[in-house]
Amino acid sequence: MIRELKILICDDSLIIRRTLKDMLNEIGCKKIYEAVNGVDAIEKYKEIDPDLVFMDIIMPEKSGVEALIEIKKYDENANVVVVSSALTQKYVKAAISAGASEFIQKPVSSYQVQKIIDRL
Amino acid sequence: MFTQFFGNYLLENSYISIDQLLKGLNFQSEVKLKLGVLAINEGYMTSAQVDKVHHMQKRVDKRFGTLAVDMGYMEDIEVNKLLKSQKQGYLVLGQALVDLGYISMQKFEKALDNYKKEYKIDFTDFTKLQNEKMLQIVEDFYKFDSFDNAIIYTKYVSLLFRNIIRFIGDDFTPLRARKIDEISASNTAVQYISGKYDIYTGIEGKESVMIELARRVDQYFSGDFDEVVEASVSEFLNLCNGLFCVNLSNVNRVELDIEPQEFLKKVTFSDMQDAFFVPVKFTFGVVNFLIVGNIPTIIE
Repeated sequence: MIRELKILICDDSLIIRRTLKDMLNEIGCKKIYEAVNGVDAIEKYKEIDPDLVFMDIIMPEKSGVEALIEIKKYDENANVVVVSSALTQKYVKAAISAGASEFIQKPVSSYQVQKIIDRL
Repeated sequence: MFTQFFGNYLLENSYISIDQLLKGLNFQSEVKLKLGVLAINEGYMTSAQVDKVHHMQKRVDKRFGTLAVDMGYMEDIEVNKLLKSQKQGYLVLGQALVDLGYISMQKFEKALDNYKKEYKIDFTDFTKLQNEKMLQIVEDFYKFDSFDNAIIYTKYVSLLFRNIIRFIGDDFTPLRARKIDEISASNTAVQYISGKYDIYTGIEGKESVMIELARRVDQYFSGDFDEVVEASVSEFLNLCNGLFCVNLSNVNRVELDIEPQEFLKKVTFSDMQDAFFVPVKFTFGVVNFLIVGNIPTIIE
């Protein structure tokens, strides 16, 4: 079951993409896809139809919140977890309004990622 | 964090040389009795449990004792007992400098006494000092008080040092900041924060220093200067700035915006207002933190 989950990681930092990918691989997730900004995330979402998205907020081209709004318009059941170093009240409120399902404050821990996957 | 500022005090008052201070900071790990070691020694935890807590600490922003309780390895009362027996950071540095023969214990105690008097620290235990006192020490050290955003710079630098200790290490001493109008930089991660306060931030250093910084941020990294180094240093800046904005949002109800981080090579920053170069001397070299009150003109 976990092996078959399609997960999209969207973050402009290759370090965060790699860290999350390593954590997910360790849990047993094998179908992992990456996007480098909000525009890329929307395109990849439509192409892959993932079960879960890990979305950064502050990114070039298009922010995570803007991408989340568009993804939700395309698929109202999209499951998007916001992962950011800046979970300020303003950004959290914006992400909740946009339809984020959960939040992770960076630095990301494998414990937090495991909990998210367990709840799927 | 007091340890690092106290280290600078020892340096500036000629108690020790910069080399001796760096060797002392490096030697601290040999002297330090970590809570995990104390827990094993007392029979509260096994080494495997200590390893699990250390592993978790890299991911979760909690102290060793708190996590050990959360994970069911110790009771609060046991953690408190261990904390009481744990040496304080500045004493560990003192012990390291004495063990290395750089200073006598008597001279060290005198220096500590003078430092406490100068900075009006009237506590016997530095760890009990509140954030406010730490802000005061940072403010007195850097003297950002000549312009409007001084308090924000002080808060920024205070949090920055906490994050350096948490993510990079405690083997450093802060050096005096330089006010600048223009600066040429070889490798710089930059990020702009805006809103009620505008702060353009950066981390600058030589390639060799950036590589070591990246290795500290990303323990799996080993290699030459490449995009992984740039990404690691940039992400560290992004993390520090994010946590700074979260702190201002939660504590002061101030909401700021953050632009995506960038890495710039061989550029000159000019037309800067309220700009400071804040050097930090690590055992592996000098890392310069850049704090500017506006977006500078960048010439490639």
